Amino acid sequence: VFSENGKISGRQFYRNYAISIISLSALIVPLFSGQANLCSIGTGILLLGIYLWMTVRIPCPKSRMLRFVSFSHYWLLGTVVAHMTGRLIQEFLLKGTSLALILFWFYLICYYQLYKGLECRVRVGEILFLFFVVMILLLLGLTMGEAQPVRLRKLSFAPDSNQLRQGYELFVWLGAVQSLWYRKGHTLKKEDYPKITAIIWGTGAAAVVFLRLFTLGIYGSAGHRDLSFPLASAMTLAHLPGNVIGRLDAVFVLVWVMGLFLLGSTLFAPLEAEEPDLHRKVLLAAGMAVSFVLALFPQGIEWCWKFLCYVSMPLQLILLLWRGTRKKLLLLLLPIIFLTGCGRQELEEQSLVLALGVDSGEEHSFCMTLGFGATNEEGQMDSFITEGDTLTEVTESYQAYYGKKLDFNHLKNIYLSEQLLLDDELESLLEEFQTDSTYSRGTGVYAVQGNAGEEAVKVEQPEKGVPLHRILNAYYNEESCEIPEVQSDGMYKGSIFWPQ
Amino acid sequence: MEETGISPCLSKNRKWILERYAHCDDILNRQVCIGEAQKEGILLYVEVAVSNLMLEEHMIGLSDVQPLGTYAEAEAALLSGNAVLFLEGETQAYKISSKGYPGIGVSKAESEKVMRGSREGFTESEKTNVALIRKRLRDPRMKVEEQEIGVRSHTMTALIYMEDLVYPDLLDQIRRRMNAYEIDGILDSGMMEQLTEEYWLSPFPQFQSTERPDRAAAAVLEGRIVLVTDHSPEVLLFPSDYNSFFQTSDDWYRRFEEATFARILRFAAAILSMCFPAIYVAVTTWHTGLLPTNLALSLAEARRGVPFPSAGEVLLMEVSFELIREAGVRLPGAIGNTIGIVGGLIIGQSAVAANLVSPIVVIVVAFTALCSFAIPNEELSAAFRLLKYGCLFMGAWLGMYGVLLSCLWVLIHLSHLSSFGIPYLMPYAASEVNGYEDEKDAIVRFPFRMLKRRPVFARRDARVKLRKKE
Repeated sequence: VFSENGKISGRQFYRNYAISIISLSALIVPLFSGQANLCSIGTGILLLGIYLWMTVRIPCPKSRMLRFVSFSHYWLLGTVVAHMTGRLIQEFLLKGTSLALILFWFYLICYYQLYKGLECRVRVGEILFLFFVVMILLLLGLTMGEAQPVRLRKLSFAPDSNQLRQGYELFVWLGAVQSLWYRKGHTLKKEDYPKITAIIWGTGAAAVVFLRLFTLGIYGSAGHRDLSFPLASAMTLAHLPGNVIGRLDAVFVLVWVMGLFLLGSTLFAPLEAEEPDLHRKVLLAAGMAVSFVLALFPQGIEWCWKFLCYVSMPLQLILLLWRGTRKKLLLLLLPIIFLTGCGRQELEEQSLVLALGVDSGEEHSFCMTLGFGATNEEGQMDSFITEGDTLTEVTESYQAYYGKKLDFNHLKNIYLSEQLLLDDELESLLEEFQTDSTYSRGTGVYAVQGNAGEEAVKVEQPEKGVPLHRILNAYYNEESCEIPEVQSDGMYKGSIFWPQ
Repeated sequence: MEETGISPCLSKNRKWILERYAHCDDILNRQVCIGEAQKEGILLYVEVAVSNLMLEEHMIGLSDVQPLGTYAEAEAALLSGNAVLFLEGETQAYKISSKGYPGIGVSKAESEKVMRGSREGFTESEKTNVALIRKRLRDPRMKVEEQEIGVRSHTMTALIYMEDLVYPDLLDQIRRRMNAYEIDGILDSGMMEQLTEEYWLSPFPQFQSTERPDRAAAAVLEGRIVLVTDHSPEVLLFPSDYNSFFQTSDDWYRRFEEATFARILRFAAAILSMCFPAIYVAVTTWHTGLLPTNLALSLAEARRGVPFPSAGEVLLMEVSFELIREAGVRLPGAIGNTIGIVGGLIIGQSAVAANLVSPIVVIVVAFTALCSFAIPNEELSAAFRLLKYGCLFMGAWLGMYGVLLSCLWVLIHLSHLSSFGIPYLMPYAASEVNGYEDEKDAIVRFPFRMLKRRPVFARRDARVKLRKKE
């Protein structure tokens, strides 16, 4: 009687779209960076606009062929999204947990949602929408401090085939959002189509461009190299004033996962309108099981992606255009298509590292001093000194010695000896900081005139170091940064420029 | 209202009565013959409000009667708890005064206490309970349908609704469900509830039960149906959505700022009562980075020497808390109170002193318990209390990801639920069904003057409940 609409309204559609585009493009847009070039982003958005416009003209595919093609397209895309979500969780939330376990639960909840019928999926999306948007805004606000608009000056718009290819790939990603458009019906009036589409496209374009510019402002043109999820790494920069919560990145990744979950589950059954019958439920379960297996293997994902870009998307476009008798447009689009070449631990069993001092080592590259928060009987900070070539090596030797894990989540300060800053060996350390999300990019860094290890074991730790992030940016973007210095008499005075 | 004078023809009056009070099973009419002339008459009265004994006494002398000239007057007299006598050949009806509706002496509401508002609670008799609602809604459009259920118990049930507000389909649906089973006996409204529920495997209640007549009357005004069962002081209100379980009757009696604040607290409490222990376990074992450094250090210090893992510790305390609660419910009043002290002192302090659990876990468990008691509806809070254990397990296994998964599971389940066709998460999802009006009385209670429309339960053409007089 009351909710006779198994249909989707304009508002619902818009919300779903917003969740999809923000969650997905925040993950992938920074990867489509093309060295300070806006061309790829522009191409992607343009193609998306044309695509949305086309689907407005041809709102509901009746041919079985087109439905099958689009279904398999979304199914593959869903697999890729699931894989990415799994890796995001593994890297930022549950280090050391197997991808299979994470993905198993992901698929299980996805299936539960689809099993219950699409209607509830839309409602869940609606409920989470506000929360999601607020969290994303908060997150961007918190990391805003590290974004430097000066870097945007290097922007250019230079089309080349590589850029266009990247743009096309971005479009394949963003094309996921129109999956709901194919629903059997929506409550929009015919004259509202263009308006809603324009709003949707506008929001999406704004989000994508903003995210691109934002990450460029944070990382510079090369600073996100070697990072698997640049924006997620940037989350480690976020700090709430007052130190109410230590590191915020886990919270944000969690919210993100929610967005990706919604997107993933809509992708697995884009054409369903009501609760599926038993036959379809079994089919759905089988499909998701295959997708689960596929998502476990990186090769599988690569294969999926190639297929998406070079087979199913072009096929879908051709079919769409053929049905819509927009053959002229098809001719326009064809060249673009063929341009493409294409572990859990109890708290007391962890040692919280508060400060890290790095000096040049004798036998190995570095001599590391780890300062722990707790003080011993003599009023000095507990510490551990060892030599090693990498931080991982040091962590492992500590673990072997004490049987406890090192927890770098609360790392406040890193002290680098001045001598080390001139050394080439520092690069390997910086690369480790860059690629491992264990180390917050907001950690303060000091240069020390004398022995860095002595600073790391001091009980009182200052809080005015330059964020590690800027050092990494300076290294990757070949810029210069200023590091506050600790004098040989222990005074926090002056600063040095690095690289000199 | 009919301002016409009362007809001298008794059969005409009878016709009027039967039409106007059709389906009002609590309004009775009785044939009488009066005096030596054996003058025929009809006596009309609200059951319970007018006792039979009083009728016998007063009928003899007809003392203290007041003539009523019009049907409107007659109806007003009837619904305020008097008997009305129509006589053959008279152009007047007579009001026979009575003590009126049951009032003081009716028991107080035990489980749903309010800061402001009526102290009355439902009694164990179906007739009295119907009269308590009729007392608040003196309108012939409020219909009462009585029906016996139970092959051996013959329990009287009554469906109460506003004729012009309720969806006819809804009535059909509940009648169908009530008659779908043949049962030995119904002893409480709880049995009625489980028998007529649609999603009977869900831990979430789909009927709102209340002890308060004013809450029930408010529900009738919203276009919902009240199901009264004999021998039960709890009546059932339906359809119910998630939101209605968080509303208490004094939400509408108090200022909107206060009410809004209380609602926000309750909503947050509901979520926390499910996942707070799980979040604690997840954060301390997986995401220590989320803790402020000093807190992390002191937590690690406090946990030193505790033999159980965090999850086991929390589980231990949660189970002992449930034991205290269960024991406290069963024990008689005076001993029941001491249970709280015993539980607090022995389980709490001694366990910490013996290094069985860390002090922070006691805080976590106590806070969770507080949260679950802040939910106004006991059944809903029980649902969250049960789900807490699943959430705890997932939190210990997969950290915050696990907590998120279990929350999503619950959310999906909730959004799939519906109560008589009304989506369970109504104002937060699919609220365009009622033109976004329901959002005004959800987490935020808008100022009273802005609540001009009934919620989604009412019939679509009868949604206006407040408007300014011309």
